[in-house]
Amino acid sequence: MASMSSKRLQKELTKIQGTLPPGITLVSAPDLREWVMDISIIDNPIYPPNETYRMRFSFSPSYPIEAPEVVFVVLAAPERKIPIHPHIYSNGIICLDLLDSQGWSPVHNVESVCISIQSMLAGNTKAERPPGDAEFVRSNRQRPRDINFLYHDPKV
Amino acid sequence: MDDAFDIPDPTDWLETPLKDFSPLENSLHCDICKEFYDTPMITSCCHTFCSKCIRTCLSANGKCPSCQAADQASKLRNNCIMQTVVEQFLVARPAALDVARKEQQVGEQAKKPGKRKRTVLDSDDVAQEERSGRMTRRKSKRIAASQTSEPETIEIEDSDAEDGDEAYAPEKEADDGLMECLFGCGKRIKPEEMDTHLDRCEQEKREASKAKSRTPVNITNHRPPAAPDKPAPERISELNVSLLNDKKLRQKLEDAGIPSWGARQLVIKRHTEWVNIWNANCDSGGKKSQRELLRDLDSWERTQGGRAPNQNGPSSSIMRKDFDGVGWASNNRQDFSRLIADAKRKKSNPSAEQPATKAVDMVDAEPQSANGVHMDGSDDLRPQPLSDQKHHLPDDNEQPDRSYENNAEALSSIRDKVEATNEGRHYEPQINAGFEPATTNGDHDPTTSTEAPTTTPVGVEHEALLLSSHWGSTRKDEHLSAHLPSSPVKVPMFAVPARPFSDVDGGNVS
Repeated sequence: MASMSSKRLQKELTKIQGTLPPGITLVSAPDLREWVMDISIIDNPIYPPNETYRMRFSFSPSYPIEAPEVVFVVLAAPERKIPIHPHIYSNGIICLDLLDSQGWSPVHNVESVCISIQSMLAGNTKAERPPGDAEFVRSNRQRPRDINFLYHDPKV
Repeated sequence: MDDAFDIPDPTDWLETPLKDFSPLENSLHCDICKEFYDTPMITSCCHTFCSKCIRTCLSANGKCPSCQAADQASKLRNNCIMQTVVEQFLVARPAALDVARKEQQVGEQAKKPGKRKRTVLDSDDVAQEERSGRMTRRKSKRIAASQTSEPETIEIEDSDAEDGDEAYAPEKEADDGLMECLFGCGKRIKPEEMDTHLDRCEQEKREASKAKSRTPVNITNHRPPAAPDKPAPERISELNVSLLNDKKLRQKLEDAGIPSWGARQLVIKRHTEWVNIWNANCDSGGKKSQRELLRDLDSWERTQGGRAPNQNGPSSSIMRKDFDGVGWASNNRQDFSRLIADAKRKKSNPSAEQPATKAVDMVDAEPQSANGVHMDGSDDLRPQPLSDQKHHLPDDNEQPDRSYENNAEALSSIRDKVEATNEGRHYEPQINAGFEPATTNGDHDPTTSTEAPTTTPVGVEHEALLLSSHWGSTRKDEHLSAHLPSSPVKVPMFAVPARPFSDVDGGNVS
């Protein structure tokens, strides 16, 4: 019996390689531990339609019981920036309860996480970083899953 | 299932006329593992998952994955009808898919009149064929024999058909260079492909015969059959780990027949996993033997437990690119600061050789002064430190030879000063005269060279201890730290050397 995570990820990968919702693409999935996805936001003036954002998914062996770690990454070529959003720190860490152990549920999958993040960005109206962004980016060396976020915004 | 790499997937249906089967098949999948339900269990909130999946989930956070409602593993109930549906679907699937694909090919050439009707007919035919095919399989008989719940009649038919198989198989082999499947599925395969085919064939057959053996019982009973000769295993409950100490906890694991090594956290996790594996097996009516369950636990151990590759110890996790350095630092701050302090002390040791001499000199000075109180001076004082320090000699190597000169200087200068101050107070002319030659002689005197090696801190400490035993416990601190005096008796002796030492220090260290 291979581990639960690799079986499940294999299935997801097969599915993802087939069809994905518009604006979401699989960049690479070299193994069953780390995948790279690109998303673009279609109708939100904050995000130029030609701009694409890159996300890195890291899966633990306990996936899907445990949430994957999802962060935005910066890349020079092709250019990938961190989307500006009140819940996305400029180091790429996303404050989204779905990705926390509290909000995560094994019925979610890579695709549904991408869709959630896409819709979170699409529904954004404020072109700003979270409060205390500079301080957080400077001081934080923790893994996203070890950070205790305070989820205060029920709209997202 | 005509392809070696064909894994059942809902997308199989998408290219066929039976597209609607894709969502149907999807709904027979567990939302956690995305596989067909294996022993489906229904939660209090009426969601269905595989037994193992939902148990793992609930032990992780106690919530239903679908609706986040709180739930307990003890409230799970078998969803028997779902089990039957999945099994029946799996039986019907290959044939239906075959037909659907054929239909697709036909439909591509001609138009498709009465497609639906033919599909139904064909799938019936194929199912019929399959059933008869299954009965002629030699392997299926073997499996059937091991399965107590398999009805007797099938076995008899099997052995009948087997004879027929063997009768005509050799003739056919002759004409086309192909071999008949050894398990008797009726296919003819190239000899070199036989191995892969046999694996697949065996797997297929096992599944089919499992489903087959179950079908008649379900029709009458709607419950998975318990093996008649062995009692159904009982579910075990989760441990209340907070009530158990380490030893009892490990004892529990050993009682359960599972490994008990590793840290407490790991032991707890392993037990939880074992409870899940065990209870999931109970849900399925005890299909697996304990050995199989232990193998499952072992594979958990290798992927997520104590032998998981990335938890093999701190060193490998430190090497990870995304290693949390600050978290690590804050967790181990105490250890780090202790190590830093150690390192600093060690680093200051080589240069501490000079301070050490100081301390030795202090020690020297002490008997001297002590003696000096009663006696007349330096001649008396030379042998005294020697006798005290003899036992340190073996600790040292050649290096002190060099520092000897320094030491001699230090000694002489310190003594000068000590004597000078002493002079000032008490013994002015007498000692001054006697002391000077004594130290200059000492430079070449082998006995003084033995004195030099006492510059190790250990020696000093011993010295101090020794002296403290001579002079009383209150003095110990003063020797060790070589600091200002506190005892009223010694005030004149100690107050005075304290200042000159700084001079000596500066001279030697530079």
